[in-house]
Amino acid sequence: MKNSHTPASGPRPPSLSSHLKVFIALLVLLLASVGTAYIPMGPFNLASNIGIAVAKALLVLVFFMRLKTDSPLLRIVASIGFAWVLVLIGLSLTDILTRGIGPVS
Amino acid sequence: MSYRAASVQEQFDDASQQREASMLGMWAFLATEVLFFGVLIAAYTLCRVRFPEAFAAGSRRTDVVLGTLETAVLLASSCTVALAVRDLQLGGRRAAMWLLVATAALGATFLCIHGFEYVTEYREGLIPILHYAQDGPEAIPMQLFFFLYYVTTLFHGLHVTIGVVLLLVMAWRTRRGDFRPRYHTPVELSALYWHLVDIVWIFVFPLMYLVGRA
Repeated sequence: MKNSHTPASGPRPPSLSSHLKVFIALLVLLLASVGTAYIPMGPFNLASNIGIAVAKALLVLVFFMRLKTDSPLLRIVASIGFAWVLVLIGLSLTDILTRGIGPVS
Repeated sequence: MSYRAASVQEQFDDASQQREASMLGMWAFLATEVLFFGVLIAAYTLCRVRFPEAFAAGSRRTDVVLGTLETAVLLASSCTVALAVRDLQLGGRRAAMWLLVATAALGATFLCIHGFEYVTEYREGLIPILHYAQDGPEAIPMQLFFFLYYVTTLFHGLHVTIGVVLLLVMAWRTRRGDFRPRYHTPVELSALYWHLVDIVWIFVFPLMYLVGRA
């Protein structure tokens, strides 16, 4: 039982180069995000903005916040906050985007 | 003093369980932070669906160069704080302390750049209630964008300020020798908080600065 826990010193320390690689990836994604914002792509501008933001957030969560190597319980708790926000925004949008559809009484 | 801080409290079996409880508590708190900023982003989403043109017009008035710079500064600070935790875990102390100070300095840089943005926006009359001097068809709904912009960025700035203070306290405690490879949970928790502040900005940046640029 004890062995399944993350040691008191925290999960296995990542290498210096892995952190620097993640940082460079984040900067590349930032430039990609700004660059694509100036290319007219209609609704895909929004999609690329959100997509790149999600990719950046995942890099920070998985590597910098060490969700990859830390206790699985933390991965679940970390996901829950984001999942509720998705429910909040998703259900609000299903309301507002479907108003006026269907038989009008 | 530092020995007492490092010892296992009586309700825990061992140091590893104690660390896990602290981490779990911090993540539960971070989930509530995600929900706090999630509500602001949900409000933004609904208002943007209702007034897409005004939100594009408002976003075009923000400073994309400074915004990009701020994002890069925060991403760099996330990297330095992650390296500080790594260094402490590997038994370092001096480097960890300076990495924490550097992180706090990058946070302060972020706040300064954002301060410049606020001053420019005040001069241009973009702040609702305080000084709003816009006209044209989008002027009234554009206030909605700027309300959300200020509420979100000011709350985010408040979090950055708290983070800077927290990181400086951690740097001081590192210097005092409170932490060791087997016990540096307070630094780990502060780093998690700082990363979350970074993640919030990762979403705020494209939503506030990059709309309607194409």
